Amino acid sequence: MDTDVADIHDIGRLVQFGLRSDALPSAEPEYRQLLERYNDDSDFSTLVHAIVKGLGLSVLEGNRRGLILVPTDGSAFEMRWSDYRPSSHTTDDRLLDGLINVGIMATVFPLSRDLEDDPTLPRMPITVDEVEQTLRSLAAKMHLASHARLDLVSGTEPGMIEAWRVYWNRSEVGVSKGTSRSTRGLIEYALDFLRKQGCFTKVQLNGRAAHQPTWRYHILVQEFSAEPLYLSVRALLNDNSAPGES
Amino acid sequence: MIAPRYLATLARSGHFRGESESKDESCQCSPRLRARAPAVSFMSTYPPETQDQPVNSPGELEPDLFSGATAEATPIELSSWQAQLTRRLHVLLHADPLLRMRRRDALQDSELRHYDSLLLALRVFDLIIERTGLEHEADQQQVAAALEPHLIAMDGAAQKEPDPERHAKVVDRLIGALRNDDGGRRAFKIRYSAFADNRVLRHHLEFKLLREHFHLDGRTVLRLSDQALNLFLNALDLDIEDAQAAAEAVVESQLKRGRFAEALQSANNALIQSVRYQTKVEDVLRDTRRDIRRVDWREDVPRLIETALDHIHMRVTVEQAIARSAEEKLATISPERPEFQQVAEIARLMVNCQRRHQNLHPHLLDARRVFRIEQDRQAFVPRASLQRPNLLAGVLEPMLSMRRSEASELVNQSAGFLFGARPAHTFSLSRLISWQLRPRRERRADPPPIIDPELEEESPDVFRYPEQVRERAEAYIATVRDTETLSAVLTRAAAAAEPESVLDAIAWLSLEAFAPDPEEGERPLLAIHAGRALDVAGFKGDDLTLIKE
Repeated sequence: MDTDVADIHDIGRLVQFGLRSDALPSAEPEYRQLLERYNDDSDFSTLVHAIVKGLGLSVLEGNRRGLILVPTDGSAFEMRWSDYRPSSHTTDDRLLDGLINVGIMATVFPLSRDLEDDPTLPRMPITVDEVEQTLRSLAAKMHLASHARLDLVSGTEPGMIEAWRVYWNRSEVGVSKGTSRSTRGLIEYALDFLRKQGCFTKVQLNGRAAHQPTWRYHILVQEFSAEPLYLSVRALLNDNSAPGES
Repeated sequence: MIAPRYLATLARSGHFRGESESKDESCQCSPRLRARAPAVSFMSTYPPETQDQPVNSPGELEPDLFSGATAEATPIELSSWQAQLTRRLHVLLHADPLLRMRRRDALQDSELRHYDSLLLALRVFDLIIERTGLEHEADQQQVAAALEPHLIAMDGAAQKEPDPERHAKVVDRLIGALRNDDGGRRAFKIRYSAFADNRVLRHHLEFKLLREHFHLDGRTVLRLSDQALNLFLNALDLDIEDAQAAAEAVVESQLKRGRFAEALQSANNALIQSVRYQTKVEDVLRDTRRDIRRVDWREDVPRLIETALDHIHMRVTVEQAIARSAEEKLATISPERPEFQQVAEIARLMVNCQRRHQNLHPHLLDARRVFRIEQDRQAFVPRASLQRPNLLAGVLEPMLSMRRSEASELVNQSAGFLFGARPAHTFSLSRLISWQLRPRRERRADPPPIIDPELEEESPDVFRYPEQVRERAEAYIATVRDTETLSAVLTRAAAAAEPESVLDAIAWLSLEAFAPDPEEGERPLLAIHAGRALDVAGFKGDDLTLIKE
């Protein structure tokens, strides 16, 4: 396989398109041609995989709709929480950011079979209210259960309290701006961030603003995020069962 | 009563498949089973169904269960009759959401009651079919624009003024009902009963009518499900290939007999069957590109490709013949007659069908190469296992119930796989300098006026007594001869019927003279303790001796 300098340049262009969340093959002829070549030319696609791997990336999906790149462990392209929300300084803020992002996933894909659906078929748009309800109702259920068990919180070290209390104690609606944002404010921030990553688009649903998950988000959750999250949770709970077995 | 040997034969007949695809959380479906999901026409296999408990106990027959069957009826005839009955029942059940939607029309607000949802729904089906598979597929906006004349006509029939907002509401509601928005856009789920093995069993039928699809141009477009297309075409018992052959045979027959209007309708149906077939093949190739484990490339797909190539070859031959026949007919019809347009349209539709089939041909020939490429490519791609986790019960809920420290640790580890790749930030000196040298923001044309505050010297003591009171009190202090006691000054002021505020000011000025502010410099009056008590005009305390300097 003779490697042409022009091929290397084309691969660089393709990677650049893949890293731009707003790039659409239908609107960029060069992107479309590079994707066709990636799909039709096995030598070219082998080179793409090798170069992308060297950069600390992996091709999750590459078809006429676009190229989805994901970072490998320790990659320079890996997202950090400080990149996500620079104003998030405390452990609780970061915990809330993580819970909310998982909450968004769970609202879009509430059942395991939803992750098997075809990503080219749009899922129902979600609203800030629905994500808030997903999280707050779970926290409320745990709050009631803790009352029933007469859990004693006072005197407990901060690290020992459950994560749901952090969400429960944060107000749903903020009165004034400050470092302590309300949960609805954090959810809006998360959806706006994901929209800029090409994971959601803003739509209207029954006259209200809603967020439609994109093909890109579906594949990211389906093929990249869901399983490692599940396995990480199981590892912390010291449970080695695979999905579907618990 | 049916003899036991017939029951065994029914069980072995193969018309009733024992496998069922449950749609609940415990699904452990193999890839092979999943490959039989709606990509293939539901008419050629039973749709996914779940079986509940039998209505009758095994072995107990309803008296009229086999009323059409006699002792001489063969097991094949019995099983065939039951299979046909169930298939026809499925077709009728697919119309249930449409009929329910129509029944709800009467329950709408008075301003919306005059719109016929069923009629509009069929028009929507028509619009979507016309554009499926083409570059400009229909989205909701285009459907709304196409329905506008019909909505205006319905307004006119009800003697109402057209209202764009009301029309938008109707279209939203219509599309939402077809899409099953109330059910979370999942499949409609309808319970029904069917005969099987001498028993009546309850089943669930799941299907979609309208679904959305991400178009390559970024729009979200509307498409009909295979079941909706079947319903629209009133195709009862045929699979796609047979339905297409039947439709084209009907066109040929009607064209020969001069029934051009009917032939045109049949040609439209034939085109729809071509669209269905195109979608069926494209679905398999798409599933291969997504995940080759989902498609059975050992037997099912090679058989599909072989059958499809033969089918396409036959179709193209027939369509060419019909198009030729239509063109010959055109030569015999006067252009002014309406039949001329009908026959011309039939020829155009047949050419359209032919083109779709010919376009499929290279995809089918290329399918094996696509499989080999995807097999190589997907070997490099990190893929999730086939078992999908439950994000709500299996991830979020455990996270919330974890200790805060553990949950925080999990969140810290998860940033790398919660989001996609982030373009790495690199410092750019040129960009920094450009940012710093950017032009100043222009001031607004009429900035708000800046009002300088008036500066006033503040002294709380002055404001305690009004100016007039202070002057009167200072006048009494000024009349003090070399030395005089405070009590004497207060007695003089009280005798002159001065108000209490003046007497208070005299006392305060005397106290100020007793403890003067060092920064104020020399004062004209000095006060020292007089050595006796003060009890004059209501003032009590220590008397002071006022000394004029």
